Amino acid sequence: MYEYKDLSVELCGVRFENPFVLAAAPPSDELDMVRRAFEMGWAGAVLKTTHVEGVDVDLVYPMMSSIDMRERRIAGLGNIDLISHYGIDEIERRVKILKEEFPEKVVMASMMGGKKEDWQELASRLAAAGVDMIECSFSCPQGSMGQRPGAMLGQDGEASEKVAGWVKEAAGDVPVVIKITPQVAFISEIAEHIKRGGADAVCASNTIPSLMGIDLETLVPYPNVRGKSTYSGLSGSLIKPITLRTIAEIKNNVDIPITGTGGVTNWHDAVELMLVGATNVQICTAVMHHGFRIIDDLKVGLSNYLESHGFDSPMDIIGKSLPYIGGHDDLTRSPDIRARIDEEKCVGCGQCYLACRDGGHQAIEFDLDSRRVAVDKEKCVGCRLCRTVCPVGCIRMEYI
Amino acid sequence: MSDEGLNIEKASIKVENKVDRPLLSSECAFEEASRCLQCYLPPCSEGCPAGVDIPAFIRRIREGDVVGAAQKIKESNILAGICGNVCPVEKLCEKDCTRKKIDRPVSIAALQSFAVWTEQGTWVKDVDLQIKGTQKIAIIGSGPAGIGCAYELAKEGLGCTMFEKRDKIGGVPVWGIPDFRIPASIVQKEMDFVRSAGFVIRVGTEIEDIGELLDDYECVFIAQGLTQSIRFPIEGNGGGIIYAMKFLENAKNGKLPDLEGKVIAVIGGGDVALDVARTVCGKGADTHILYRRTFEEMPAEREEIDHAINEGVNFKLLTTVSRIEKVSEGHYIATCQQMKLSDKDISGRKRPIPIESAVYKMNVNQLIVAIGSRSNAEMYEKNGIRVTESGGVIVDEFMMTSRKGVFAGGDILHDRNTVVDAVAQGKRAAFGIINFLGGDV
Repeated sequence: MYEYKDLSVELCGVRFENPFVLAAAPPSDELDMVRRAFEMGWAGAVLKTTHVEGVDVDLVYPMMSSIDMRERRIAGLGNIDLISHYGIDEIERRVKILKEEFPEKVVMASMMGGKKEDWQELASRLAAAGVDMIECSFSCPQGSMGQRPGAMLGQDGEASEKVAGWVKEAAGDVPVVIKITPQVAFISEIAEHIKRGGADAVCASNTIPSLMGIDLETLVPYPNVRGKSTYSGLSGSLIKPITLRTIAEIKNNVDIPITGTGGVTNWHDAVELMLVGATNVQICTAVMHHGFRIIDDLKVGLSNYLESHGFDSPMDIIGKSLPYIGGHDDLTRSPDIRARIDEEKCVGCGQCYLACRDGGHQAIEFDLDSRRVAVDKEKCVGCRLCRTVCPVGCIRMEYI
Repeated sequence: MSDEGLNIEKASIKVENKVDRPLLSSECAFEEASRCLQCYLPPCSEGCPAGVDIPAFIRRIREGDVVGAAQKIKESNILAGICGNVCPVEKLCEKDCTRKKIDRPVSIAALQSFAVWTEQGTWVKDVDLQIKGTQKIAIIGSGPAGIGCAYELAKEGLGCTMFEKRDKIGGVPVWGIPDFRIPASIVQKEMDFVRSAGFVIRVGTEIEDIGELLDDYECVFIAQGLTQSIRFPIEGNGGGIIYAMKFLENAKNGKLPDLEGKVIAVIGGGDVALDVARTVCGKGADTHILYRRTFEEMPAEREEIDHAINEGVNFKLLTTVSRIEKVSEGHYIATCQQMKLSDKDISGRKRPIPIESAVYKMNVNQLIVAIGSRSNAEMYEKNGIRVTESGGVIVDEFMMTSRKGVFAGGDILHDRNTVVDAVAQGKRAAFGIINFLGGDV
């Protein structure tokens, strides 16, 4: 039997047996789903966003659509789901059950309110029920778009600070996490406000407001809800670069712990989020695609990565890439970099030639008889376009 | 039957046509199209006699414009559907596919069939030919070469008159290639288009001697195919023998007798012999291919041999028939002669030599001779058209024969005999004709 490394991490004083947590989303919306995920090895779950009793959660179906890269399904997943239709009474009950059945797992609960009393009632009841952490959704874009496009609490720094304060006041010792949106002008300012409000951590980030595509036959965008559509929240691999940028920017400017989410589909993505500063990662889309079973791959992959790179604990990699990120002005101007083609590996397709000719600097020559390409070192500026199009990876950049 | 000695290369996904639908689903087609490396100056197009811009049509499949893909193919090859099914692609477009250097070649034929299939029904109305020229061009034969030529002329606004001795146009793909190799509906569709293209077609008109046409037409393109069966030397008291071309034509016309349980011997080892054997076998006959050399020398496509073996055709290699005697109506005794191969002769071929006393009798109900056909060389020579020793018509780079204004293409060149080569030769002849007429069109 393979032995994992100790994969535990600590966020706001709460121990997670590994960094992998179910995000507040459909996979955590039923008690049995969370039970099954815990049994399969997930370290924690953020129960899908609850609300005070009496709120009407008015769902529509269908609610899912996707961006597929041909045979690769779900490069991005769009949803027009809303918060859970379970109110605080039921979530309170579940928190108690889960904590009793799985004392070592981290039970987090996501919540969303309107008035101050709502936020505080939710927070104090969850705290009293024994929840490990409280996550506040300031950023669920679905449901708010259209009438007032982009109207999310997380876009208003002052308001976010105020609400974070209310929740923290009611939560007592229970750590409070604020889930933010990347859809703002200055993400660090928002994080700064949230910290000032008293929150213990931010969850970065959330789905990206999107229009998922249009059916060219009916002219109705996806998802088609009886002939009409609306804007979706986009998740999945496609948004990972946005998540990485969001986390890195916050981490470089504000001293606050981050639970990362958005675009993690495998251990590799998870390591990347941690390298820019996430303490742990929350996952939804990959589970909706492949099921809870991916936890094994996540754990083994992370463990192998740590082992092979000489890290003792996942905590050791958090933020390790931050020193390598700077502004454009900080980068060294390097006139001496050129593409180099490995003739052994080159199959002679000529794609690099076309890309360089029509999208670059006309620096690659193609010989039809031998189907060989050659870089003109005078014309090549080292832009790296050729490397990105090469189907066999036979081009590398080198300093001359 | 063992397939020992067979070196069947599983080069790529094979196009099987037993069912009247394309091999690839649209999902699979998108996936296969994504494997194309989109080469610059692509080797596939270089290997296509018709010069189809293969990466371009594959790109259109990948981008979801399958109709556009078929249009792209047909710009260069008017018989795209037929060729997608019968082209020996491993010798042509797929031969030097760059993708081979990574894993296996892109299945170009399968993608072409998929595109043409998907598009059928929409493309006829998309092409708007404007034929204005007077009809001073005659085409003899309405097979792939003739059609390739007529269509290319039509694209340039030139009309022509096409003479076809049979009552249906299309040549070998229509009357000779069995349905299991080309979906009938695809052939039908392509012929419908040819009929609607605007050139004059005279079916049921046999040109016995081209000399009579030369007075009335400025240019003649001879593309009448191989009209003469090569006689098979055999002794006997009469009957029991039918020639392959006649047999295949009967098969296509639904005129085959009941073959269930009959013993049929097919003599030959080329694609036609295989077509005949598979047809017969499919009718429930006990089918034997008698070939005087071995699998190694057999000229038929490996893929076809493979199919035949799987379908239950028996191969009697190093065997020929020297005599056939009638026992009663429909019952014959064939005298089979076993052969051995000589050492390589000057031409590098191993000659079959009869093994003395290695002779046995075989009861058969029918002997089908599929040892090849040839051009009507005597008639050509009589009209001042030079032919090779084997009777193939000699042409220049624009398909003009030794007689000015007379062009030739297709099987009568005794060269490569694929449908796509014939179409390509027809196209080239059209350029030759336009050139010959000196732009005065």
